[in-house]
Amino acid sequence: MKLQTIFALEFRYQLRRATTWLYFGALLVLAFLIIVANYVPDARDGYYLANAPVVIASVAVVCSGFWLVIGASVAGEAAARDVQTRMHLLTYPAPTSKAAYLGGRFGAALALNSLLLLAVPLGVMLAVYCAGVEDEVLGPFRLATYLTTCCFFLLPNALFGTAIQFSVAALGRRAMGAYLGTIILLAATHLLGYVLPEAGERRHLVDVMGFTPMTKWSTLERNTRLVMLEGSFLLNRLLWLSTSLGLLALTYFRFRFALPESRQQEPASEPKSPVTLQASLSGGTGEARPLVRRTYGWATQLHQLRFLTGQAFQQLVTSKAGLPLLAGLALVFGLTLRGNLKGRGTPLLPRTDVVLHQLTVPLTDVEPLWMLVALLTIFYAGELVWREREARLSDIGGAAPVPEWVLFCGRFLALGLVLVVWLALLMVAGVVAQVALGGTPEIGLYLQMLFGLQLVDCLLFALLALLVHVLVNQKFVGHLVALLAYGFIVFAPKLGIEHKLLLFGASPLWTYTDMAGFGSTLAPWPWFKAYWVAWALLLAVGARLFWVRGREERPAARLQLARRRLTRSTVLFAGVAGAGILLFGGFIFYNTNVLHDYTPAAKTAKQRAAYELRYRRYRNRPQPQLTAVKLHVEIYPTQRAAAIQGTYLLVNHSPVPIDSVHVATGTEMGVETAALAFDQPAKAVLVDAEQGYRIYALARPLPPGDSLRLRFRITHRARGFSNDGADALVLANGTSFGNREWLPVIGYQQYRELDEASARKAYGLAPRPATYSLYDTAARRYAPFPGLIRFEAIVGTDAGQTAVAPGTLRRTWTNAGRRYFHYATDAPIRNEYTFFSAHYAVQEGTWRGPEQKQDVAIQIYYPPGLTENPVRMVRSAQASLDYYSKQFGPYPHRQLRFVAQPSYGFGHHASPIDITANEGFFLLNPKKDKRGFDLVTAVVAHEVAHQWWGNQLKQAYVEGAGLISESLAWYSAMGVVENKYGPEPLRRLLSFLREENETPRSRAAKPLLQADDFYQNYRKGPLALYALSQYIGRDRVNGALRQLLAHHRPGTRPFATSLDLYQELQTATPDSLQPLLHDLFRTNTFWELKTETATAKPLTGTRWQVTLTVQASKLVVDSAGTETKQPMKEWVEIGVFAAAPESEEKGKLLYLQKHLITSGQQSLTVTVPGKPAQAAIDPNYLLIDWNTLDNDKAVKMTSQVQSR
Amino acid sequence: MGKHPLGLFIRNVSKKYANGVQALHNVSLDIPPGMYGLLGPNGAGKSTLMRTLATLQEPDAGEIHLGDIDVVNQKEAVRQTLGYLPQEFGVYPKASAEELLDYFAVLKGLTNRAERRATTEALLRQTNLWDKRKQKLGGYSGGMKQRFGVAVALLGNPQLLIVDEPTAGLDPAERVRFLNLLSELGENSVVILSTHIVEDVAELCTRMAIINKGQILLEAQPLEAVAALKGYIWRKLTDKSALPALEQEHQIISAKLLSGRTLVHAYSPERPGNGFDAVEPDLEDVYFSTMAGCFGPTGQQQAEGQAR
Repeated sequence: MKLQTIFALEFRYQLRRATTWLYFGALLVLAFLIIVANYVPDARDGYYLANAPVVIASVAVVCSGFWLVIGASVAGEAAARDVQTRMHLLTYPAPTSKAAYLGGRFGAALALNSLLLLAVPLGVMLAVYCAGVEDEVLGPFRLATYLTTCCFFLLPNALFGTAIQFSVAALGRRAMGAYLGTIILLAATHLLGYVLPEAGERRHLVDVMGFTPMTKWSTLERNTRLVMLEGSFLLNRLLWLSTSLGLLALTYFRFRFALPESRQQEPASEPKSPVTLQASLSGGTGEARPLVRRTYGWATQLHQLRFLTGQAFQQLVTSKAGLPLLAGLALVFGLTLRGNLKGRGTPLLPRTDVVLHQLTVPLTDVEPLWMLVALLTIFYAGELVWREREARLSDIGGAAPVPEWVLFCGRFLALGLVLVVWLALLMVAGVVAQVALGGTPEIGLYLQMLFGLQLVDCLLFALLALLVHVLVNQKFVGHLVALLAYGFIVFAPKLGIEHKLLLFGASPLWTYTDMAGFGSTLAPWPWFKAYWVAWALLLAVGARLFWVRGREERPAARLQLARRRLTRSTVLFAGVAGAGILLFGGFIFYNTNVLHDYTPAAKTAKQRAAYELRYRRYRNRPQPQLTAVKLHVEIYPTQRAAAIQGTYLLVNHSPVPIDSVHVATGTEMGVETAALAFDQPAKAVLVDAEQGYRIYALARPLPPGDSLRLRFRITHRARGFSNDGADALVLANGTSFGNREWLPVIGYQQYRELDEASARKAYGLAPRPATYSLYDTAARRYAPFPGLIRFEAIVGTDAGQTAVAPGTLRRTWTNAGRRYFHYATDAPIRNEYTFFSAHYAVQEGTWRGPEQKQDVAIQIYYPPGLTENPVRMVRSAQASLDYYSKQFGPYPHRQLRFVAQPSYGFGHHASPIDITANEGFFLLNPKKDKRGFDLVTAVVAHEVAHQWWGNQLKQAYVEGAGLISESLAWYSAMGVVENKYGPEPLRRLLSFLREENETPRSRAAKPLLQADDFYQNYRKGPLALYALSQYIGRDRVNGALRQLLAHHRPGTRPFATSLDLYQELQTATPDSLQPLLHDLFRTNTFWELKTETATAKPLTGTRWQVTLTVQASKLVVDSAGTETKQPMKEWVEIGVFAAAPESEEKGKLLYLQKHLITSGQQSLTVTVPGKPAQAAIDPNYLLIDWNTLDNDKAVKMTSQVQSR
Repeated sequence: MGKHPLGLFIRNVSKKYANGVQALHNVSLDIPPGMYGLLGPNGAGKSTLMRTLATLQEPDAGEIHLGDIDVVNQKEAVRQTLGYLPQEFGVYPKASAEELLDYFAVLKGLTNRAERRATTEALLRQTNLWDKRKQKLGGYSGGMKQRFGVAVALLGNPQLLIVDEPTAGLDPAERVRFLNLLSELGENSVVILSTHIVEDVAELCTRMAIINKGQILLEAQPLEAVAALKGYIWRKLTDKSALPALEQEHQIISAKLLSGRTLVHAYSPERPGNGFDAVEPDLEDVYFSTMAGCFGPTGQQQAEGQAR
């Protein structure tokens, strides 16, 4: 009865509050926006229906996370309002049981929060049915979808969130405890997420608001399957249910109806003795107060400012949410650094720039730990603004002669100091972690990036948070509004607001790598920050004007007060800030929108669409082919400029005369193509500078076999900066640019088309898949930059730098303080090349072909200092050239180079002869790799293989293209690793490639022949080829590849497709294994192989008889996810191993033979020459089976041995 | 700040709250240096007036001048000479009295460390908190907290001291000590004491005003007001049951219990008879007569005439 009354009062009280409905509205709008701005476009791109159950579930997850942070006041108030309003003096002594009191309050909070979260399905429904979403991207309405979302996500989340927040607030007797508890919870679960194994869904167990277990789902399932309580999701819910109930129980037992003060020591006896009384009666005049000088003026105000700053700083730092929490966060950064400093699982050398890349995050980026820092900043701002009023000291404080600007600035400076402390803690964490990893911290760089760059972002946001709290003047609503402001800064680009003049505190990204330094990325930074600082000053003026002091809190009264506070100096100050905004904003606008074309994503799409609409009709026009390129390139690194003069030799290889030449010129910013001229009369009939399309009519058509020359001049000068930052192709150190970016191309370029389905639809383009179908014969006729050219270039750069281009370096000389390099190829290369210029160190080696008597110079141009990997790279390149030239055919060039390019990345781009290697690759430290896997050697072998697969064999631009470039490159690299380094390194490479199998993903996919994603191209493809090589023999597979290359000579057509590869493999595969070949490549087949039992008994001598019971099945999954069981009748390896010696995973191989395995359970008996310990079906994991853990089984000994 | 020809002049101040309550209605008062009592029942508008004087609220209309300072528009100047003890206030429970007093001393412009120390020490001694100065304020009793508030209000020798219901939570000894402190300050400052306890005013104030429902009912000197009432107040001991009948017949201004019987005071120009005895009026009778509406500006020659 009492419980009901308490419940009803609390429920009605909060239901009448405007904040409650504000939260409801915010959640509604958020759910609406997520659907409309994110999922509807996704659905139009063909991912999954906009109202699929899993979509609504994930909206529920995101909104729940948001609710957890903003809605904390509901539970917090229910738990602690009595203490904070001092009502507890009345409620606590009332004859109410703890159960009724806590139960009523908690029940009301839970009911309110449940109600709030119901805004989510409502928002979803509004988005789906009232926002004009077309029917094609919607499934039918299903009540079950909404019910499961509510019952498995929203309502449990309401329970978990309320329980946690209520408990913290009730035990801490502070409503804000709920908010703080939430932040700590998020930080803790984040840390826990790091500790748990990365792969699989297990790390989601700790996501308190749940997760959507859809990574493994097929498209079909994503559209229709309901998210039910099962698997790790069920575990997640149970985990948090028990945590919540545990917390509630704890709260029940720990809660006392006691006054918070009364637990402190009672004040010592009051001075009531007559003596004191008498003293007091007479004492008054006895102790005259000293006369004090009170001075008012700048000096006093500055003194007060310093004092208030100190006070507020101390208040924040000494609170529980202050130093301890910040130190905890810094610790998390430090602890997770080791795990984060990895490339593809291989540890990185802990160089300072790499560490700092992990530590610094722009305000506009989504990074969980920095988001927590932003939340804390908002929280601190609220505490600062509200502390005096919450302590009911504001009347006394407000009547004190302190100007508003001192009150505001004192708090801002205190918050700033706290952020400085945070950065200092972060720096300590970074330095310690770096030293622990064996690095040498460059303290100067730390100071520069943390206290120079990052601090400005922190301070700008701190000011915004303070201003919001001042203006809103309602603590929890202030948190909500500040959070929305933060959300806007972070997510506005998703809503189409991309200009950094509109995103508070934003500036184009800066990067720092050891090789390039800041390069030009820092150039826009001061302008953008000055612009935002000017805004911040204006905001500060606003905060001063609207600073709440005294009892006037109505907007009208505050406005009137603000008007009164508007003194001349304030107006002047605001005027200066406004002028700063105009000045800096104007300069930025001039740079981003006048000097540069401001092209948000939508405009780029529009441009691409126009290109296709206007010029696609020319795609089959016969065009002369580019056969020779002669260039003079001048690079001016310090001026960020380059100039190119070039001549193309074009030959008509077509059977008909050509009357017009179509030239596609670069559309990159700051690139000007000029002085295009042919060596025979021609007239420009179309010049479309925007799309980069020109048509020249030849006065005399070019007969078949004839040639003509095209001359052109290209100038590039980086001017100012754009919204995305300064142009970063020509750098003071580390320049690299390629022909694809700047140089003219002949004919219509399909790669410039728009690929995304929804964008194509929006611009009225014919629908087509993002990747052309393998069976689209017309599409197979296209490949980007396929032709072979003779290449010659003179490259000039600063005297101190080395310029690199493809071919033999004929000559190098110095002229007028510049250094020139003359490169020319000895054999034709594919029309793709890059120019580099930087200070490099060079590691050289040679490879001598055994019979061709051919010398190939191997050169690694690397960032000075990183000497470890280049040696390794030369060795791998030598081994690769050795193996590939034997297996697939000669290497046609006389150099092979890896050239470093500044970047945090690890990847490569393999152009002919010169392979671009990102700076990060040189930081990989395979010696520290716990897997014992040498990623560097393997990747080099892979890249060198591209000199065959991709540069000699050119693939058509359709599905399966990755299978014959990337898959073949990895497959070939396996051969190098096995031949040169042995079976154990090969096993580690295979295991590295198989790691990707553990990443949850849907089994639904197209067959390998139509491969078009990372997993198929780089992982499944090579593993399938390896499996085939183990069944039919490596030589046969390599022979087929040799044939493939022979049938598709460089520079010839048709381009190779995966079907051509398949045909060669078919030819090489014996009839008995044709079904396997088919299963591996033609269908998306999965095997499920399992050893159920393995027993052994000794025979005579050392021989043992091993009996295995195995379970096997095979199924085909189509791209929609439909699974079809297939009868299995396959030869599968059976292996038996001896006991593994310590420190090794597997023991000596005792037996390995292929057995014919059929669907279902079966038993096998083999005899082995030693004591067995393990037996396995498919021990080398050749067949595609994502669960390999159950392949093997420990062998059990039968009766005779039990005596042991 | 220079010496102002001190005195607080309040002219036609009105204030209406958003919920429709007319807290002040055309209030005008002249308050000279010295102790000034503002007497009225709870909810009369005392605190609103006090907060307005303390620059914490804006009047809807009217002017307030402290000497030549415009209180509404020159808040900063007022604050520099203001001491304010609100009716209700809190403290930072984890701060000690010494710390928090030092904090407010800086806010009040005492920037010299040595002077500040001397001032805070003197105040802590005066308010008898010196021995408890290191103790956390969270552990203070109501009286100690109130004394601490006084110390804050007295910081920097304010020319205008506003104390809102200061004696409400004090025990008799504390109250005496507190009133002593006040009277000492009243020697050369304007001290406005708002209270609903008549004795506070009777004991201390040279001038006073009675306020109810936002209106000034009486502005007077306590002694003169008491004298003016001489011969008008009559008392009778009666039973509670007889009270309604008496109220019908006489102008009863107060009724209180005395040893189980009811003692009523009546206002009447002549002896009402019927068992009423003459009684020497006191300030309480002034208060109740005013509240009852039988004693007002008409009976007070110097009072402003426009209160009703």
